[in-house]
Amino acid sequence: MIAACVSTPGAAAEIGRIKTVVGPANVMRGATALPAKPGQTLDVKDVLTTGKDGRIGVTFIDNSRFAVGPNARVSLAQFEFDETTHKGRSLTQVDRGSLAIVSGQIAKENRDAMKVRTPTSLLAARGTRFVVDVP
Amino acid sequence: MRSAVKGLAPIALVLLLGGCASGHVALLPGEPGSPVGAVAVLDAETEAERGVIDHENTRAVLSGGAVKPRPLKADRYAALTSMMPPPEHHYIIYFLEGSTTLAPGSEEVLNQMFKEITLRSGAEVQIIGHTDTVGSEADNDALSLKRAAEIRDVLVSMGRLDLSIARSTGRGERALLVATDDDVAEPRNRRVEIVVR
Repeated sequence: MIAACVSTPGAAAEIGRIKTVVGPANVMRGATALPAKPGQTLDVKDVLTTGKDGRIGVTFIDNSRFAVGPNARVSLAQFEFDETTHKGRSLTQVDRGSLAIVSGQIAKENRDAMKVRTPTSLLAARGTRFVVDVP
Repeated sequence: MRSAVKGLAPIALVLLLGGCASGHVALLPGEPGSPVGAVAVLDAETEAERGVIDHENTRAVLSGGAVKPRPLKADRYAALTSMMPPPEHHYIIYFLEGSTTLAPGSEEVLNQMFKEITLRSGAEVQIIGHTDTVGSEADNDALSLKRAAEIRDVLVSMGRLDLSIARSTGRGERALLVATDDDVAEPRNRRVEIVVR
């Protein structure tokens, strides 16, 4: 019951933040393209896109982290994390480009709950640092 | 001209399919202090496990066929991983019982925490309350959340923390610093943890 409302008021949907940006990079929120910049908060269903030479560093509220490479399209399709119990699950869709991942509390405390989908496969993180590369 | 283009199209299609546009997954060494871990390749429909890579610096093609780990060229992803934000830092601070007055020694920890914020691009903090095992789990969840919010508000009102980068969370008695039985008063467990990301 407490678990449902643990997050900071006014930031209920926040699942992570952009930490670093190099080159052309956007956050697609619905049909809106927001230029990626450090400190930008991320919501579930946001899509991270980078152009040639673009890169983005991201941290999530379960302490997992992403590094998104150039010419990438990475969708934060699902992200549920109870900050009280640490129960949760996530699904990240890599449509193209390379994504380096350091897993966090979701993968640590819930078996196979941190998943990554590519056009041809489904992956489950069992910790800790890996790369998904889609041409 | 037109027919020549038509004639080329099937060839281009074959190259595209034959080019194995399926990508791969690569397992890197864990960061210092972290184990290597593993990545499971699941069936995209049934989610049944099709294979696992669990050795550092190996990769597997994501083609839908058998999962065959192969060696990964060292530093293949050095440019990519250089963009990875650093691991979070954890700070533990104590307060005099029932107050928002810092316990001896915690002022210095707090100063280190504020310094860390200035060193990080896009920094944010998560203030996490923890209790000991006295009382019910539900009560301690509520108590720890209230405590975390209270400490956040104090730091904000001191002008030392921007509310827009501060979350508060209660973990109750779920993450004891010192393991105890239930219903044990333990001051070391009644703490506030601050995570800087």
